[in-house]
Amino acid sequence: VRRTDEELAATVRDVLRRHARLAVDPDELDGGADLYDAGMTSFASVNVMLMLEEEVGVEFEDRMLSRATFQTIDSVRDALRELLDVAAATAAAGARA
Amino acid sequence: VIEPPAATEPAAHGRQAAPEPEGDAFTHDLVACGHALAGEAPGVWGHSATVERVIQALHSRLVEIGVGPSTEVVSFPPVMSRRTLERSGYLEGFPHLVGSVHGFAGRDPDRARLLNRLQAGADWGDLQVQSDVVLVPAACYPVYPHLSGALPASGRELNLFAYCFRHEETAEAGRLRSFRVEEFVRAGDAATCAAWRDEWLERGHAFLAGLGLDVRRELASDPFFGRAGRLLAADQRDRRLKWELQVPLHSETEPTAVASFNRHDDHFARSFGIDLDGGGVAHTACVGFGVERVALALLRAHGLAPERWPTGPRRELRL
Repeated sequence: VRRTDEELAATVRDVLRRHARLAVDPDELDGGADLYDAGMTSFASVNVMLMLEEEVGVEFEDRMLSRATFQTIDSVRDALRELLDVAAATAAAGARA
Repeated sequence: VIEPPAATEPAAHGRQAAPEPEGDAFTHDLVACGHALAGEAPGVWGHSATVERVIQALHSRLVEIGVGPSTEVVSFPPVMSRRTLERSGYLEGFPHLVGSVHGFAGRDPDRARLLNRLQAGADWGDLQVQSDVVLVPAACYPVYPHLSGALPASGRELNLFAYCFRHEETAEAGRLRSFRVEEFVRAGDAATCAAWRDEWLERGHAFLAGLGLDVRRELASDPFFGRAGRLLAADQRDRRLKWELQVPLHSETEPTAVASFNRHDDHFARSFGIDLDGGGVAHTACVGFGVERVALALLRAHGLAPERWPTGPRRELRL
């Protein structure tokens, strides 16, 4: 079942709530709000990254391991979307072969 | 990790053969002339009185350059509280580099087991218990708990000369696991710490260039562990938090870092409750010169006998 963007964003907010040590509740943040400005440290962003990989079952690609990927809820969601779509396409190609 | 000698292999002439030094031509030269004394553990080197004289000269000169009327000169042993290290976040970034101190906490039967293991050349680490101290990983770490609370209006500046330990393996004479750093630490507001770091970068560059070294300035990142570490390193570079000065040591094309100039923003201040005079979390910054590496780089650049160096560096270091 393909997760909707809304579901992915909700997962991101949930992981942020538990691991980002933000000054505010993630539900109060716009998708485009800067998470580092909201109090997420670089060390906290590592926890967010690792927990998202576990929750969503993907591995961020090396090129995604940057401040830009973890800057906003939208940017994290987009990275997850891309990884899930690639994984789905790979699985479909494998099924056809 | 050092392999224990195989129990069945007789040592030549009843004593341990000296380890074969590995590494590059410069390392071989240092060993051949007695400046570098290879031990049985890679990356743990002794050195000659001549090398130590250069190290002490660098220490003295850097203190002269960097210690002002308001600088507090402090000193710590090469071990520190494990709790302090845990609070610092070091284990989140560098679990692979920590040197943790362990001790034997067994009873008589355990002693017998230990001796049996030693005789068999087997591992005995599981008979050791972790202690409440660790080796100091970077010179500034023992400082931060002492800065807790409200800083004076002008902040604080400290200097120390300290042994550091990194659990990394290598055969190069310059990449030591245990080494000394001439360290300066600043705590204050964000602008003060940023300006202080940038001034030190200029000052450090001028100092090393004045010693006749071919200095390169590079934006750098720390050797954070694993995939998560790539994110931390990228973040550190994006924010231009770390600069290094590099000089040729083992290679002309791949110079070695001999000094680093670091902004921590509020990382340590948050961990250790270091606050500004008027309220709010302080920032910190630090600067470290790896004196063994600078000394070796000087020997490489000017020759293995300091008395025959050019007068410029000799006068600068009063050698």
